[in-house]
Amino acid sequence: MTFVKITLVYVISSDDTSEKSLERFLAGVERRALVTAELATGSLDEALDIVQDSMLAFARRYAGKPQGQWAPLFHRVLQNRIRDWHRRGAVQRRLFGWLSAPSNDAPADSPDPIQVAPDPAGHSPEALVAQQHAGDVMLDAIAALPLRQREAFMLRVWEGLDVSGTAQAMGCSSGSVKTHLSRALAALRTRLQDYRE
Amino acid sequence: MKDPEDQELRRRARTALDRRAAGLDAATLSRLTQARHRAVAASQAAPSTRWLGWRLIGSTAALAGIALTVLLIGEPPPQLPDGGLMVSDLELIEVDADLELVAEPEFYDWLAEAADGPGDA
Repeated sequence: MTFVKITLVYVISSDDTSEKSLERFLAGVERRALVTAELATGSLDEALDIVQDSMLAFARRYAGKPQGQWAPLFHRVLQNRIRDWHRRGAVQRRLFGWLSAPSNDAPADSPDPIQVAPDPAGHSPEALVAQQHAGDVMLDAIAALPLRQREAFMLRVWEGLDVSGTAQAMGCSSGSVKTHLSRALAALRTRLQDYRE
Repeated sequence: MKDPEDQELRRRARTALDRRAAGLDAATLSRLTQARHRAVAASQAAPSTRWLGWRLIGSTAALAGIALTVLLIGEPPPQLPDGGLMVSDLELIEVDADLELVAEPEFYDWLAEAADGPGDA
């Protein structure tokens, strides 16, 4: 009887810990996952659906895996969902870019009040606009990258995964990751040469 | 060794992406939070019940195995009520007798008459 009680206490406490760990992990990646999906789809609503599906699928399948493997596994699920979305014939949506489509239709995508508010550091509105514009141009350039190049760029540069983790998330070899990243950087350099700060 | 130009490009990209992530509006963040809670709940509902079930089954099987082992080891080997009886039974089997004669009923009749008689066999 004592053995069964100890087992039950262990199961309940370990589930509680893993629940908190999972919550923490998802809270840490969800915003970046949303921006990644938004860049890939050009739509915040589509991105939200993709991220929601990815979090559900990850939690159901991989929450029991060691936490060190969570990041590559989550991004693998996310990238698969994004690829599925593209396979379903969303090429047309990509052509319109992620910035132009939602501005008038979706109030949720209106400029954030925090960014519109006066900067306590004293930056001038013109500087902010220029900075915002440069950021938008950068995001636009990243969104325009081919799918695999963008995956490699986002995972290596923004998510900070190493080459093997990125290869695991992308489902390809380490050599392919390096090739995609190199091409992505070259494409961005070309696109952004007129917008050097 | 990374190219300084690449490093600057990476830094600018990270800045723009971080700014975009930090600038998500409250409605979007609320939907993200709801999605996260659903995911965490989904991870806890099915798998933990499954785990609990499997662990209980495993514990029960282990306990049953231990009990069976204790019973088998603790039980004394089967013993005859009287060791001599066994030896006498073996002697009966080893008797050098004609089995056809033993199976004949008239033999027992003759044997009884011979025992009751005067002893002049």
